[in-house]
Order: sequence, then structure tokens, then C-alpha cells
Amino acid sequence: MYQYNEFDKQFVQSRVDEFSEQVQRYNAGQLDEDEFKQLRLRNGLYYQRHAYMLRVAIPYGLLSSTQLRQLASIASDYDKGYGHFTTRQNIQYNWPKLDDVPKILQQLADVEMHAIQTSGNCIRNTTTDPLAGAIGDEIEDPRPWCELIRQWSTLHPEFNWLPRKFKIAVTGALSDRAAVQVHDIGLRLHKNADNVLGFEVLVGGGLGRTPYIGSVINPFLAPEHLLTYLAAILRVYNQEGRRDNLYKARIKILVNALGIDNFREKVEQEWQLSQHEDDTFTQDYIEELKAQFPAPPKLSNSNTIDSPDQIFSNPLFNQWYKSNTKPHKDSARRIVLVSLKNNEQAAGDATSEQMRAIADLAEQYSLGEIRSTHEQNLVLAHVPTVHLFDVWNALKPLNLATPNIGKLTDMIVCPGLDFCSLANAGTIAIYDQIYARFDSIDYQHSLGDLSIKISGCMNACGHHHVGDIGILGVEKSGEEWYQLTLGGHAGNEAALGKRLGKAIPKAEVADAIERILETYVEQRNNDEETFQQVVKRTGVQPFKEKVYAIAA
Amino acid sequence: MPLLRNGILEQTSHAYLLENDMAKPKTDSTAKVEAVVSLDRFLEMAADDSAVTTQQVWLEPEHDVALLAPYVKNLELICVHFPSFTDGRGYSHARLLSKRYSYTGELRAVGDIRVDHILFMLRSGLNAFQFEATPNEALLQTLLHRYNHNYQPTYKLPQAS
Repeated sequence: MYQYNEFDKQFVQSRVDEFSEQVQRYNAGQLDEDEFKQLRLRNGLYYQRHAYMLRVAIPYGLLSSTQLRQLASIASDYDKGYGHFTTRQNIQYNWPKLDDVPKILQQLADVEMHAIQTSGNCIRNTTTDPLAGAIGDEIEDPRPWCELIRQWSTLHPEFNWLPRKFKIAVTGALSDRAAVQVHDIGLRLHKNADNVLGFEVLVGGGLGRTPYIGSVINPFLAPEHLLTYLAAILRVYNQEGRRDNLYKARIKILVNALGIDNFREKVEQEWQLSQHEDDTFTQDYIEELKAQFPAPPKLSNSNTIDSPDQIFSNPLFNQWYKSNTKPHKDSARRIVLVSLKNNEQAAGDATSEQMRAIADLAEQYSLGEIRSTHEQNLVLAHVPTVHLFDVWNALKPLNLATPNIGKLTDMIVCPGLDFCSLANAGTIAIYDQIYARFDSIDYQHSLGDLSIKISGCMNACGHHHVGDIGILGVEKSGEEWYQLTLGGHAGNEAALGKRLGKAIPKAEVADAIERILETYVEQRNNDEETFQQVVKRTGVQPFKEKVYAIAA
Repeated sequence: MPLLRNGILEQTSHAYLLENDMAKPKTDSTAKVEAVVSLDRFLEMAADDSAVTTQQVWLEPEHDVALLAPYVKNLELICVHFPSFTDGRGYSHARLLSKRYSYTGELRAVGDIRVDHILFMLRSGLNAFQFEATPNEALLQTLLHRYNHNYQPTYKLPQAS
């Protein structure tokens, strides 16, 4: 993975010094509340319902064992012994004290990490495929490109005060695991008919109050133009995006108001001139970056076995193997997904002890690296097949081996009313309610892959618009209610879920989900037909009849 | 009003938007007042060659700086107004004027200007800063020299002094 050079180190150190002094000035009354708020936000520091919340950047979801151990130490030294992995592949701490934050940033800088631009109206952490460099359907490793974007977008002088936050995602595989169609800018590396590599550039996707699937602004951008093209989009947005209404300020609103063709024309016009003026990169430089993400050493053929022996003798291991591991491009390795969705912790939470154990496992079995996913799980990407049983045995006692990856209980859940000042309703209690109702792993496996995504408000941090079943918390006369949507999807067949009907009272959410699942099983033609396909074929009507039958 | 220009903090210069030819800037007795006309007014005058009486223009965030391109050679002062420090449009104005249109005169940030942002303003092409209150000079120096490198080489850092 990318190693900081002297310049990166100095830069991040300067940022720590800068923020330490800003905190001192704030405490001394020399910085006003409004300005300090903006300055702290650009260092990932929010003020939430109970306390400050610090969001730490995990650039494109990639961590070393050393870094994960440091995150564990921060959780135990400055927080309540745990951290929360987010849908932007970052980690956040819910209880740091303001005066400790400079010390936390220093500890992050010591392991080449930071919290720069994890909030505020600027370019946020670039996200990517958590299986990059390991999965077989990859056309090009997106990580060097993500690192290029990370550097270019870090404290960019011109684009640090945008109308609203700005999120970029990159995929380089046939199957999109980075949700590029629902980002401000989505980048898809692909090859044209002449086998030449380029980016398909999408713009104006996003969730939130007004969800949109992104539109193609450029079907094939030569890679050498990546940064100047991004800058051209950002400049048009910076100048023309709405600033009069917070809820209409994202680039998707501008793109939709102008129409993609007009927006494209503006960007192209700008780019005709700006591509000769703005920052770019040399071929040598991107090659240098690529060299920092080498392919994992190929294991010798003698190690190659399709599946470990224990599969046949141990049904529990077999179940975990089937749902929580995926084929690696080297058949002597498997990709292991570490589930952060169990029956005891909030979705995406990990304790210091769990983080340390995962860091150790990564060091021992997975080339010392860990990835975080936007589904709020962790990944050991390069585990030799012969060690899968050892890894499973190590994860189990830590409650990290629930065989539910991609299944019903692998829910995406924002922090909700318990932690977030924006939320209208709780999400953790809903997660618990659903988890308790459908705890049977056999049942989950019989349903196949299915996603439930829960947001505590319209801002949609839980990505509810793109879940097979989306759950949106709303507040009605002081009570928490939940609005359901069906048939959403974040991958290649990206779609926004359709509203089922009127909101459901808090106590009845699991009941409604149960009826939805019954309807799915009745309606599907065979075990292969996915939830999204059924909803597409039948519409929401059969689901609606079942869910509201009792009420009516 | 304090003005930071070429690394020196001056106390007596003060740019004012002259709303129209009749407006009279209010000021205290010691300040030197520079009357600056709005982009619209300037373009009106420029359309009638003989009417150009000033080379000082005031830009609002929503203005299209490309309209100034034909005139930048003669302009002496362009004020870029930041109604709030969180409104980033002025950074793009400055970038275009200095980089694309090769404007070399004074490019002054006016409005809600705060010291923590001026390094980035400088790198975008602004070269003078009009503050509401006098900033601490030691702090200014620290902030201007905080970063020795940056990830965007075409947004040049100010020369170390």
C-alpha cells in the first residue's frame, strides 16, 4: 500500500500543528464559534448530540496492521473502547474531548493517517472497491488512481469551500462494489474496443433528500486527463452550484437543473482551456504509485486447493466459508470478509480488542493489510486457503465470524438518533429488532443475498434508497416511524427503491419485514431470482397488499 | 481598515464599492478611499471608450470574470468580494484572473476575510487582503509559512520571505 514520503509526512505534521494552534486560539477566545466550526469540520470534528465526534479518514478503505492497532489504541485511550466504521469506509469516534483531539491527530500522523476533509463542504475521502487488487473481475487496480485523487484533492486551494460536500468513488472491476452511480462523481475504469484503458465519468449521482442515479458526462476519458477533467467539473460546480439552499446545493441538483447535456457542454468548454493550465501528473508518477500497490505474491501451485478439508467435516465452517469468503484471483488464496454485524454490537462497531485481533490476523495471514467496506465490514483480502480454518477459529470467539455477509442481517445502519444530531429516529434499535427476529442463519442463507439499509433521516447516510429493503426513520408528532422502500440497488444495476406505502410504527418494523420476505419467497420463480428482480417484475403491489393487509 | 499587501500590513487603505456615480463613500478622516466600480458599471463605461474613468473593479461571487478578460491589461485593482468566508466562488475568480487571463495587478480579497484562509487565497491568485480588524502579525507570519509544500504545484505557494 501507499507509503508516505517525506513530503507527505511534513504536510500531515503541519496540519496537526495548525489544528493544535486553532484549538488553543479557540479556547483563548481568539477564534469565533462560526469560524472554528468550519475549521474543525475540515479536520473531521463534529459536535454531536452528546459530545464531539471525530471522523478519521481511511483513504479508499485501506489500512495497515500498524494503523489499525493505532486506531485501537485511540479507541481505548480517548474513547469508550470502540470505533464505528462508516459507509464512507472511514472510522469515527463518538466521545473524544476537544482538548484531546490534537493529541489524537498526532497519533494518527505518527502512522501516516489524518482526518482531513472527512467533513465540511469540500472533497471528501475517495472511496473504492474494497476487494481491489484481489478480486478476479478486475480490469485495473483503482487504488493508485485513488491515491492520485487523494493527493490532488487534499487542501486544494480552489475547491475547499464548495456549495456542499463532494464525494468521488472509483471502480476498476466488472462488478461495481463502490456504488459509483450514486456519487457526485463516479469513475469506472474500463477498456475500449482497442483494449485501451480509460475512465467512464459519471456525475450528479447521490442519495440524501433528492436521490439521483449519476449521468455519464464522459464515456471514455483518457487516464492522463483525469485530474484536469475533475478540476473542470469542480470549477463549474464551485461557480454555479446553488448556495442559497443547503438542500439544493449538491452537484446533482445543478446537473439536473441544467440537464446533463448542458452541464457537459459547460464542463467541456471549461476543460478546453483549463486542461493546459491546471495540475496534472506524469506517466512516471502514476507508475510510481502503481508500484506501491503490487500484486500479492503468487503462492506456489502445491498450496493450491480449491477448498479446505474442514469444509466437508464442519458444517459451521462450511457456512462461513460460503458466505464470508470470496474467490481470490490467486486460487491458493481467498478473500475473507470480517463481519461487523453481530447480535451484540451496533452495526459497524469494533472494539479495541477486536481491532487488535484483526490487525494481528492481517499481519499473520493477509500481507499486513485490512480494508474497510462501505457496507461497514472489514476485509482480509489475501488469506491463503490453507489458513482459512485458523482465521475462522480466531475470528469466532471475538464475534467476528457471523456467516451473514451479503445476507439479511448484514445491514447498513447509520448511527441514528442515539448519536447523530441530524437524525429524526433511532436506527440501532431497528437493527436489533430485525436481527433478533431473523437470527436463523439457515433462514438467511435460504433467502440468498439481500440488503437492508437503514437511515435515521432524509440525509440517507444508511443508503436506504439503494437497499433491497430501505428503511427511513421519520418523526411524526414526537414518535419514531419508519418508511419502507423496495428494490433499490447500489451496484451495476443501480436503482432507487420504490416507496411501499405509509410509514410503519417502530414496534412493527420486523413484522413488516417478515411479510415482505414471505412475499418475496412466494413470488420468486426460483432460488436464483433476486429480490431486486422480483420487485422489478411484480412491482411493489404484492408486497404492499401483504404488509398493509392487517392494518386494513 | 487594515490591508495586507506584499507581506506588509498597511493601515490606511480602504476599497469601497461605488454603487453608482452619485454614491459617496463613508469613511473616517484618516483613511484613503479607493472608489471601485461594480462589474456592470465598468462594462457599461467600457462599451463607450471615452467614459472609462477608473481601472478599479469590484467583483461579486456570481459575476462572470470572463467578461473582464479584454480589459485586464489596464486594470489596476480588482476587489473580489467574499460575503462570507465559506463562499468559495472568489477562489475560482482569482484563479481564472491570475492564471487564465494573466491579470498582474492588485487582486484584493474584501469582505469576510479571515487569517486562517489567506494562504489558500494567495495560492489561488489573490495578492492583497482587506481585514475588518487588525490581525496579529506573528500569527500571520506563522500561517503564511505553515506549509512548505503542497499537492497542487500550479497553485504556487508565496515566495518564502
